[in-house]
Amino acid sequence: MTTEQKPRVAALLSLTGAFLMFINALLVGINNAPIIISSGPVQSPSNVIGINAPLWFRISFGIRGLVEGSSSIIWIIAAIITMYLAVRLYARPLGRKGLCTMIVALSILSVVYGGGFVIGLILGILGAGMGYEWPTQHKNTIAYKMIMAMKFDSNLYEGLKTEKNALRNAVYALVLVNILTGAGIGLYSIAVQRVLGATATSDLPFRIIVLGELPFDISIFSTIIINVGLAILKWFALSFIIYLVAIALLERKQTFAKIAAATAFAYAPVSLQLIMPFIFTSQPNLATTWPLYLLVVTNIWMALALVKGIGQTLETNLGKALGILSLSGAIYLLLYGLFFSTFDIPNIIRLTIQPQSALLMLVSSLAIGSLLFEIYNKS
Amino acid sequence: MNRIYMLLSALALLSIFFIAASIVLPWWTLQISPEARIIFNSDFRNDFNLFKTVSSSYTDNSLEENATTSIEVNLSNLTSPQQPNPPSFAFMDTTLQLTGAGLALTIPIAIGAAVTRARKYLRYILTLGYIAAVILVISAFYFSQELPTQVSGLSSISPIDLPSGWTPIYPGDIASAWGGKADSSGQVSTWLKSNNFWTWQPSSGWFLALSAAFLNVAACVAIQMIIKREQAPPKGSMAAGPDRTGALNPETS
Repeated sequence: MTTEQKPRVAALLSLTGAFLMFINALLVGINNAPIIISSGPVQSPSNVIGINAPLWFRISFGIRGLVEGSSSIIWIIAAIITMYLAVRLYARPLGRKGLCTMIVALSILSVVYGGGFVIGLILGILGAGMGYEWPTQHKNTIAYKMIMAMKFDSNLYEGLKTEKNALRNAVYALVLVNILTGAGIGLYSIAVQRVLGATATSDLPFRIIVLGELPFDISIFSTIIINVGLAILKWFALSFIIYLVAIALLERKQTFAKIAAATAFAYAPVSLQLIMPFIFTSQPNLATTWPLYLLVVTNIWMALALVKGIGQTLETNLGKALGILSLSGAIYLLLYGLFFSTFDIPNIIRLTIQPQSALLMLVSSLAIGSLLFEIYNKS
Repeated sequence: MNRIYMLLSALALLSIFFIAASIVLPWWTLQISPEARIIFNSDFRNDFNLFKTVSSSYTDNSLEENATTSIEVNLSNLTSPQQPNPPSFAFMDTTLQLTGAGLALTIPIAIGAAVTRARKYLRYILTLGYIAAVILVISAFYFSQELPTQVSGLSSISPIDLPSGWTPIYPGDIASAWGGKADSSGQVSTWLKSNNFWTWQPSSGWFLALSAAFLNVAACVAIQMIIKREQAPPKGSMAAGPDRTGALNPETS
């Protein structure tokens, strides 16, 4: 495996992320409030709260109640420390593990003041992830492989076939993805629960939806832990189903570890669910529209990444890969609907197919759909 | 190593830009709170800058065509001729001088990091960088310390008359650089409980000056770290060389 003399890309990504965090902290300080970009002015509370409220949305950079007043100085200092750590990562990479841990911690903390317009947060975590694995070349790091998976890059899956620690790295990626999604969905879900559970005279829904307040609950940590545990089970089940289908129908000689590694990296787009708590909509759409769109888009993205990954790993064309995925997906969806979706995870929003007849119809459609891709034709 | 020096020079240049911008941008702002802005569909702000002027603007978005009224006056216009001891705002001159000094002392860091020949003096230049940072921090905190006393001595806080029905604001309400005044009209409280109608806080110029100070410190600490590393004797085997990272990279690409 090739190595790098300096963690240049890692430091550059972290520095760019930290710079965005700094600009974000500065603007929030000057504004003395979160920076809120909304789809339109709010003329009255009934415009955003109530069953007849029209669709309205806003993105908030910063959490109301945590960025006002002199506290903004702390956030500016935190962002500058992140910049310094990124420079230090480049200049003295030998202490990278401690440096990268601090960069990740400060990047997560930046959520309070807007996460460097979200992009800074993502770059900070990616850069620190790459820095952590230095002197491994940045293209061989877990963080970069996650980007490759999102880009449907075939080089990722070709590399996984020969990589010694592919499965171990893939599990790390899977855990990271599910920590991020657990945190994003958990925070959003807590806020939605507070809005829906508020009394008619409470001003909390207005503060959360319009002014950018984000309530915190300690149960978010159980959400993250249970989400990671369940995600590992789901990944194992999906990988095993794909393995069985591929072996039985295509008679491909590929190890379970390689298929499991490709499957785990395909989960990378799901990490974008982290951005869920930055955007809120008017109340009737709060628990449905925005989370639904985000979950559907990221899951379809993941499915496409999986098609690419399985196709490359099994050395088959995309049509057959799609067929294998249709059949495996049908079995997995049945398992998900009957087993995984029954787990009670606090503060989680997930896609469920209801009623069960609809689930069965989808499962049978996928199973029949797999016939179209000639996966049963071994020639 | 040149690349890191260029990066640090860029940091110092950013700091210089921030200080220069801070001189012309407002240092303190009085405005209506975000919630009042939404509820009244209007904006109102008074920006105080270091040249002893205040620019006031009022925008009413509820009208068919957005009506904006803007005016810039000297702070002396907000005092009454009958006042026995009107505030002089001399502290703004001091702040301006301190910020100017901070700017002058930051320039050598950018030059020292960018120009190879100047690097032998970098150790001494760093001292100037730290002094500049201290001066900028002092100027920011001195400003925020002095401002409330002087503003509370004005006879009026805004050159534009406030719309009727709004919570009035008086110079005496300003007790500290950061603060707010609760809504007394009852209109905000129909939406929100116990929220501010007015908020005031240091503005962009103040934040830029303070950020420049922190950037100076970050750049100086980083340069110091690099100088220390360059002067450290090589550790371990000869193969490691002065750049200790090389020892880890037998297959350097």
